[in-house]
Amino acid sequence: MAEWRRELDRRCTAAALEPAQRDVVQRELEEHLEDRFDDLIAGGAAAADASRTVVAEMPAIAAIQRLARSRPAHRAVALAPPPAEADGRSLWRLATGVARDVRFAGRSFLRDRTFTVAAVLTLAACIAANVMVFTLVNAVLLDAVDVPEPRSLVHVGNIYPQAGVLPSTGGNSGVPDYFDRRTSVPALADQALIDTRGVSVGEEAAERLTAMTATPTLFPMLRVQAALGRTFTDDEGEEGRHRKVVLSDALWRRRFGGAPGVVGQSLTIGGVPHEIVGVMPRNFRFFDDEVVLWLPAAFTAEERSDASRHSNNWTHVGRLAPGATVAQVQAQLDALNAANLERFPALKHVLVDAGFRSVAVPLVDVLVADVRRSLYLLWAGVACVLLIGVVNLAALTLARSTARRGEIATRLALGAAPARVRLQLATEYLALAALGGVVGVAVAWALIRGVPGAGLALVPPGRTVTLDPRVWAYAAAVTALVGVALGLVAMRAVAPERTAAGLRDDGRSRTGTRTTRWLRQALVVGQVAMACTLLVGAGVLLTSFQRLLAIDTGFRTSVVTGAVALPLAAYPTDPERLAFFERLFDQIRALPGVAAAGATTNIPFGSSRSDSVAWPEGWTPAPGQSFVSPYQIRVSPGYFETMGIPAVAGRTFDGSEVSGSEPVVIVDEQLAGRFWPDRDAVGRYLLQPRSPEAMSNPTPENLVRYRVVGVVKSVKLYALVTPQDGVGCYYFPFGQNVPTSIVVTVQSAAAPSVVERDLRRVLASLDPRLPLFDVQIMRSRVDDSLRARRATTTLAVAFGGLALGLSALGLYGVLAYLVAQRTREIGIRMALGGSAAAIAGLVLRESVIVVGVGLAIGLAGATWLGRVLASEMADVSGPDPLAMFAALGLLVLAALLATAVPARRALRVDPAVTLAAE
Amino acid sequence: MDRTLDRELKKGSAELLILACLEGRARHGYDVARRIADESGGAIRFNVASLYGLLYRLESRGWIRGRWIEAPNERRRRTYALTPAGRAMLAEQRKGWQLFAAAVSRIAGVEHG
Repeated sequence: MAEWRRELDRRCTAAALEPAQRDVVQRELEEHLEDRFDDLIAGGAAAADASRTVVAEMPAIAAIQRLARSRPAHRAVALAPPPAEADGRSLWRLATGVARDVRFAGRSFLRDRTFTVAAVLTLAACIAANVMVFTLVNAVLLDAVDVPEPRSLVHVGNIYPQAGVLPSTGGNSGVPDYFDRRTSVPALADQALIDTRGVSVGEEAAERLTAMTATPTLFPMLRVQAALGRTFTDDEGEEGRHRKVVLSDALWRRRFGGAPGVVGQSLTIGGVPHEIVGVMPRNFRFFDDEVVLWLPAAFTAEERSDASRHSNNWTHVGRLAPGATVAQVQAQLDALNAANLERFPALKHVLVDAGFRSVAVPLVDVLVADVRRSLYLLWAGVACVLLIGVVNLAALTLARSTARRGEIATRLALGAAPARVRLQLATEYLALAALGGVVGVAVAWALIRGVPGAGLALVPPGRTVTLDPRVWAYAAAVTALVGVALGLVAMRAVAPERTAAGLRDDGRSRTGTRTTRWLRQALVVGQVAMACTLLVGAGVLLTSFQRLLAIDTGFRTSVVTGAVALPLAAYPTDPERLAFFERLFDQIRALPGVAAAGATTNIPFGSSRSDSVAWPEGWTPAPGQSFVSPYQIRVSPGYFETMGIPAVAGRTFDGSEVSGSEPVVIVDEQLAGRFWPDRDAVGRYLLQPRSPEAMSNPTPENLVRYRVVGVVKSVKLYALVTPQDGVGCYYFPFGQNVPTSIVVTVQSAAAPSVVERDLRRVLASLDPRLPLFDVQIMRSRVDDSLRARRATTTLAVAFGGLALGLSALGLYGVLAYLVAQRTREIGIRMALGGSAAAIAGLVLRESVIVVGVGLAIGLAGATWLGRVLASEMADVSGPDPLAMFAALGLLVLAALLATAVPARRALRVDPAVTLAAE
Repeated sequence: MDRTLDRELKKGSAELLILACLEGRARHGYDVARRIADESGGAIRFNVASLYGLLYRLESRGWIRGRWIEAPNERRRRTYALTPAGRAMLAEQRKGWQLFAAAVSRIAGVEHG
């Protein structure tokens, strides 16, 4: 200890100061005198002389006592450990202590701007990605069913896999099933049948809305009540008493201005007046978010009869009885179906051969089946991105803590409690993480709301995406986790053996140890591996998405389509409807620019689909062979011409097909190939059963016989890629079975907006009550089917890019650290005549090892991920070599960039400067 | 000159000097002393005891406020900053000093060049 310091200590001791005063006065004098001493030394004085001068200028004992007395009373000094006090005050102390720490952290980060900006940006990017995906998970998966106890709702659907009827969401159960299951499946305490469809609401200029027809059991099963009025009573599920309607809150406000007197009023639906009995609560939604009205389902005697078995037009939902499980439901369904096979022996082998089963699945899983896997994969991806980012930050923190070791050691030596210092470090990094978290949430929100492709496409229309408490909690948890992780890394700096090294204040002890270096290399290897896996995954999605876009749909995508529905009340008979449609088509064809027009019941990529069993005349199923259920579609003359679907044999419909003439059908190539593989299909006959029994016991009476008049090219009907080869489809002419709801198709040289306006005008001139709805170009229908895939791909590519950037930064960090650490060695090598190549090789070798090992692990991971993607997505064909090479190329390029800067720095090391610094 | 007057004068001017020195920014004690010494070309020097005596007195009057400031790789120091009251006092003392100096000049016949 310097002479003057000893003397100051002696005088202060002699002055008999109280400990608190001594802590302040002596400390302040000491700081002052030390400055003076340093100045003297800097001025060229010898240490002994400087010390003597300082002692001469030092206040005498009496002066020190006077000083201490004149000092204002002071609060405890920051570094002194707070004395134990009564609860309230110690809490206050803790609070003020934390506030002080946060202020201190703020100042310390302000000084360290580069570190702060890098850390906050990294954190913000990683947290934004995570919050974004979680917001989607929250909106899509967690909020899929927003009624009490959603997990106990079960969906039951019939499947006939050998006939081509696979698991689907809804429209896969029948009325007789419902009544059977109510008595034979006690594991379901409540059950309901539902069906959603479009309805025309109002009298003049009706609007087209989505309605749910449901058994009155629906609302009690969901455990929801009307906000106004009531839901349905049991007897309203009977024919004649079922003209009732329950409105959604939104529809009530829009159409009735939210008037409370709406209950009891009448609303015209499909041309028939319905009594409004209730209004649902504001947030109520179930199964289909677009539903705005509910109608009671009243089944006819025919619908309830056994003839309607396996006519699956309804969606069956049940609520588990208390304590019951989905497995029990499944067992009871299997038992019921087995008993029914015996009750209807005629159907037994047909159903067994078709692989018939009724499948019970939690409703939540059915509703989100198509996006769930994409979202979980994305979630896993952003978790990796977060990990990569945190590793970068940990490395930065480690470097920063090492640099601050001297400071911390000094504070500890001055008597600061280690716990206090640790708390302060933890506060620092928590504050940093919090800042990153706040920026991250803001960025995530801006991206979700502001960028069209950034994920909203994954959310069903009508669902609100909000930063609800769950999202905030998730963001807070991620942020806290990151803050604590970084704080722990920083706290390593306070470990006793490290601070001892810090006090020695030896320049070299401030650089990392061999273990630290090894650890950092391992971490970067991990980063490179994860980035490689993510990039290849994103690449696989991207290439398969591009392949999807290149798929030929088989129809003209410029066709304008719009839907028209004729109310049965106004157009009860086939001839009336047919006459209306013919007038409509004639007027459309007369419009300027229109080249062709037609209509269909099931527009490709639309929501309506129907399949029905059919077989070629003369065919009988071989033992174990199943009937098939191809899609059935009704089309008007001119439809194929409008859509650009060519006939490959025979003819298309020409309007000669009318009620009473010979029933005819057109099949697509796929079905023709299946039914008449070696022969010309035209002129052959297609059979359709009038009832299920006809399949096992066909007679001329229970079959309808259609003559095939043409074969048309197959088109993509509901998806660009289907999980299995479909069984094909057949088309009936409008004239022989006139529909009520059609989609008009128009090929025109005019702009789509002009075509739409003309269509509306024509329709209004024919019947002003009819709305034209769901107006879309075919291209946008196809695009809509790709929305979720496009969003997934966009997000995956963005996250892959983020991972690439972050891991390149990590690699740069480790190499820059290497160069800084070995500057002296490099200097010596240069002084001894080491060549530039050898010096650069030093850096390059490290880079090659880290990147090489990382890529090797990453490629293994990528191969695995490719397989997972291929198994989850029908159109992904496994690890894609192109995607792999592209990802590898990008990573190597990024690695080269990250290596170039430190390598240049190594080459610029000036031996004279480095060695002089020793 | 009478010793008492001398002391009061010096004390008054010392307070003014310290307040003025802290006007632009907060400084620690040694910094204050060195700055006053440098600016006065060495004519005015405080000994350690009177400097801190003054600082403590100004602080207990609420004209300046001292805080321990800590920076990485630097020693902890107690730094003093003007309070709003101190700022007002500085203005007042400045005016008083100007009047006093002008009066002395007039009487003593010192010309300001």
